[in-house]
Formats: sequence, structure tokens, C-alpha cells
Amino acid sequence: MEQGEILTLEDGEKYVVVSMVTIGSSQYLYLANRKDYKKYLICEYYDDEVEEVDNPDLLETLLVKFNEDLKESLPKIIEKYF
Amino acid sequence: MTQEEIKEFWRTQTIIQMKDIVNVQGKAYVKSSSVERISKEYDLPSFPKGQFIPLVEFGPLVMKAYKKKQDRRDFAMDHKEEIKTVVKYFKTKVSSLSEDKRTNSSFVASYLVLQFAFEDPKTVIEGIRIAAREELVSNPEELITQYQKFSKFFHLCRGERKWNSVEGIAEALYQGYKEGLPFRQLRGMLLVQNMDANMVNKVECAFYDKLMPELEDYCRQVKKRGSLLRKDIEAHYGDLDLEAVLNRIDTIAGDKLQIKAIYASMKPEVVTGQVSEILMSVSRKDISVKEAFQQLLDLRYPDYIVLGEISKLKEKGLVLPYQGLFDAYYEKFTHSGMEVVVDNYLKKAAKEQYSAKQIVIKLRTFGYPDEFMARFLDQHIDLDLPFEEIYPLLGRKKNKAVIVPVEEIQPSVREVAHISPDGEGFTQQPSLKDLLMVEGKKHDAIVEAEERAEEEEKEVKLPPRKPHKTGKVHKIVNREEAITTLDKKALVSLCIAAAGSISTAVLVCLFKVNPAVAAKNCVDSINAFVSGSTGLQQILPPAKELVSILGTVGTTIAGTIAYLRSNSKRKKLMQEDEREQTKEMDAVLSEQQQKIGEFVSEVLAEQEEEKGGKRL
Repeated sequence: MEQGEILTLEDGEKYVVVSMVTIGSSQYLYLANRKDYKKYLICEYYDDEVEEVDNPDLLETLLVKFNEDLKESLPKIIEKYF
Repeated sequence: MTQEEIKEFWRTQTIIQMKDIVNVQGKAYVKSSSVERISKEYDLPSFPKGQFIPLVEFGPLVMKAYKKKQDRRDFAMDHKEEIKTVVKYFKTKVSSLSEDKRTNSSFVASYLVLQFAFEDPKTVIEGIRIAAREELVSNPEELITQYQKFSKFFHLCRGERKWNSVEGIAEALYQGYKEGLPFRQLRGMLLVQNMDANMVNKVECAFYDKLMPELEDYCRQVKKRGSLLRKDIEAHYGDLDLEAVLNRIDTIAGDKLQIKAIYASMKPEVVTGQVSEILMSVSRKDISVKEAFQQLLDLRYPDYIVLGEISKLKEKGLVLPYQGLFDAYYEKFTHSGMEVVVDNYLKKAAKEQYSAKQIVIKLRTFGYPDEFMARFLDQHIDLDLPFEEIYPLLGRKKNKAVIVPVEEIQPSVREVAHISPDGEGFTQQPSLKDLLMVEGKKHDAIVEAEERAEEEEKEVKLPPRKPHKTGKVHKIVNREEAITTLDKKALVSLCIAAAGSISTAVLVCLFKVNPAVAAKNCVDSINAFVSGSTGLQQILPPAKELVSILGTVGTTIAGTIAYLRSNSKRKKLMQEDEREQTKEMDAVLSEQQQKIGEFVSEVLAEQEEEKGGKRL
């Protein structure tokens, strides 16, 4: 999985992989809908599926980690795409 | 027929006859059925079916192919005996190979190169074609291609070897590998050429050095995932010496890809050796527990692997100062993201009343030793979990860790193991074998540990991943590569998200979890964004794109507020003071939006000024 990769889910909606973090053996993704970025998914990725994270505590942990990851990658994104 | 057509007809008449030609509006064409027949006979590229081809176009192609065929026939006549030898080789040697080897083109090709190294390659190629006609080869064209590549590699190496050039041979090896030839066979060819092992090692080192830029690129691609999976690396570099590849990736990417976890799965005996050596040093008091911990960290294996090794040695009845090490790792664990994940799971398990077995299965998926998890559970006795059942499953008897006290170890073991009289350490380093065997028999504690492990294995089998799904599951039906397909919309989403936690998703989530934190986070982020502390100002994109991004950020904030307002369920729950908080936040956000607007205007004005300056 790579940042910026576009995933099509079974309902036909396309999501952009905005950020990824790994905790232990689990990989978590922050996906933004390609058409409507206000639609998003914070989920765990395994095999060919993603499962939405519904635990508020884990969500909070993940958001902090996604935030750190995104702050780190911002200059690279700008440099790469503009 | 025109003069030109007549000339072509006479030139090609041995192949294209009058019956093959039709006249269409005064122009000579070759019939489609004839085109098909002649093309097949002379190995010409296939033409569209049902199409007539002008004689003046088809004739030269046919003549060229005819000449080639004649040349091949002449060559075959001149080298009849040599070609016979090649075909005989197929009949006698190749046919006697096993099915998988006989049908493996690269395998057969490398055999042919070595066997007929000094023959004219044309002889071998002709031999392959004849062998194919006699159904001794299933895919002649593929075999010919592979043969040509191997032959090129072989002769390059021979040339370089004359000059004893490690670099030159490595380059040939690299080129061969890049052309898709199996590395093991290429390496095998070097050894067959009587190259000594030392030279081959040097060549291999130089080869992996050449591979470094490619590996660096590979690391960049997988870095985001945080860890690299063994099957992934095997798919990419399975043909190479994985240990050598892993060592280099480890140099490039370090801990970030947790290469050592893959290495540990491939070479468990090496890990055991390294960890036990450090533990022996600390037991001999050569080094302190603190130093041992640092040395274990320096090995760079993931914590759960080292802890697993420590546990294994403990299970085997070795008496070492584990406690300090466990304490150190426990301290490290409780300051990592893992602690939160396990903690969250236990809370959920208590809430959902999961069974002890289900909990133990999940806890084991984190990879840490049972004892470690049992210790973590000790901190959560306030939770409503079935501890009485969980602890025995985690290897504790009567809620107490299984530890073999020094006094309980038989004197003979103490003697063999050179345990000092005070039981604190070894007087000299014993071998693992010494420690595990007493008069040729396994120590009781070891037998007990092995039996328990067996029982546990029968009792609790690790399930396939994700046995319990609580969140909504979406199947991924397609994945597209980012770089080539990333469109404007996706790019904007990415930038908003990257611009420092101001994406709607983050905000909405935070609002769900903690509105006060979200408000602060939002304001802080926008301040950072506007003041440029995120570093964005130093690398500003062109103003047009910036406006697009900032405009969307404004929409994002507005969208977030709209979300809060329209969320009736939340409205009901919202207390008066929270409403006040939202109002305040609205005001702050409006002010920030205004700031963004001003900032954009400034940037645009500056750019206009610059343009004006250039014009002047």
C-alpha cells in the first residue's frame, strides 16, 4: 500500500490513501473519498479488505499518528506533485 | 500489370505464382489465402485476414524471408554434423531430465551454453529448431531467446575473467539478472567455469552493490507501510540471496521497515544465538542488566522477538536475571502505541464479555510472550475480564508466573551448569547443551515446559487473522497506482490532509471524540499553516494551486461546522456550555478564514508584483 494509491471499494466508490500507520502487526489507513473528500474512512487494512475502526480510544491514537505522518510527508508531497 | 509489377512477378515466381495473383482495377494483388499460406511457410509476420496485399509490397518481404531460409538451409548443410550433435544432445541428455527441468527454458538454455560453449551459436539455434520439429522442445522461440541471453553472459564473463575483473563479471551478472535470467543459474555458471569461491563471493558483493539504487527505490516504495512482509520481499527478490538483500535493505531503511523481523523468521537459530550470548554475559556479570538491554536493543530485532527468545530460555529452566530485562522491555512497551492498542482491546473485551480463549487468542496475535501479556493484564484487574481462566491459558499457575527457582534445580544440574553457590550466576560459561541435559536426560522443568507447550498448542490454535470483526468491512475490488493516476481532486484531498491536521476527516473524528481538543487542534493547525511554521511557506506551490488548496480548506472548515450543526443526535446531547464553546469556535474559525483570505491575496499580489517587475 502506498500513499496516494486509489482504492475502489465494492460499492464502486474510490478512495485515496491519505496516510498509513502500523501499530504492532496491524496496518491502519486513512482514506479520503476521491470525489467528496469530506467522506473518509479510518480503517484497518488486511488482505483485500478494510475494516472501519469503531473504537474511540484507538481512533484518537490513530489520529495523532496520522497527523504526525502527514506533517512529515507534506514537504515531500508538495515537492512531488507541484 | 505495370512494369514494376511484372519485374516483381518474375523475381518471386518460384514462390508467388499466377494463381496467387488477382487484378483489381489494373493493379496486381496477392490473394489473402495465398498471403496466409506463404507467410506461414516463410515465417513472415501475420497479415490481417481476408486482406489482399499489393504484389510490389508483398514480393520484397517474401524474397527477404526466402533468402534467409536459403541461408539457413546452406548453413545447415555446411554444419550438418554439428547440428546433429545438438539434436542428439536433446534426445539423450535433455530428454532424460525430469519434467520440470526439461520444460524450464532457462535451465535447458544454460545447459546448452555450457555444453556447446565454443560452437557457433547458429548451430545450437538450428539444432533447437530441428529438435522442436521432432517434438523434443515445446517452446523453441523462448528457449532460443534464453540461450542467446545466457550465451552473451557466458562469453562476457569469459572475457572479463581473462582480466580477472570482479567488477566486469559483476556487471555481466547484473545485466543478466536485469534481463530476467535466474540469478542462481547465473551464479552456478560462474562456479562451473572453475571460478574459485572467494572470487565468486567478491563478485556477489559487487553485484549487490550494483543493486543498491534499485533497493533504495524499493525501500522508498514500501517505507510508508512501516514494515516489510516476507512474502513481498520474496516476490521481488526471491531469486537472490535473501539474507544479502535483507542486510542491504536494513542498511538503507533501518528499523523503519523492521527487516530484522523477517530475518528472525528466516534464521531463528542466529537470533537465539545472539540473544543467549548477551544473556550469558549478563549472567556472568560481565555486563550489567542495563548494558545487556542496550546490547539487545542494538541487535535491532523487534521487541516481541527478543522477549520471545528470553522467554524460551527461561522456559528451558535457565536461571538468569530476567526480571531487570523484562522490566526494561515492559517500560518500553508501556510507552509505545502498542500499549494503547492492547489496552483498548481489553476494554472492549470486558465490555463485550469476550471469552477467555478469545481474549488469549487475540493477545497472542500481538506477538509478545504470554508472560508479558499476563503482566500487562495485572495492570487491568479492575476490568471485568475472566482472569481466573485467562491466567492459566497464559501459562500461569494460581495467578503466578511459572519461574524455576534456583533451589529447585537439581544439584547435578547446578554442577553441570556451573552455577555459583549463591545461585546468582554462572562461574563459567556453560553450553546450552550442558544446561538442558542432565546425565543425558532432559531436566524436569524442561520436560514440563515442553509438555505444557504441546498441550497449549492442542488447546488454543492460532486462528486466521481477524477472527472478530466489529467495524464495517469493505472489500477492495481494485487498486490503482498513485503516481500515474492521481488527479487534481485526489491531490487536493491529499494536500488538505497533509496541511497539518485540518482535514475534515481528522476534525470530524476529533469532534466525535473530544470537541474541545478538536477546536484547539483546528485553530492551532490553521495558525501554523498561515504562519508557515509547517514549512509550507518555504516551499510554496504556484499561487493558483495554493488558492485552490486554501479555498478548499475554507470549505472544509465550513463543512465541519455544518456537520456539527446538522447532527441532530449530537445537538440533543449537547449541553449549554458546549453550545457556547461551538459559538466561540465559529468566531475563531471565521477569523481564521478571513486570515487565510488575506494571506492568499497577499501571495497573489506579490506574484503580480513580481510579474510586473519582470515586464519592466
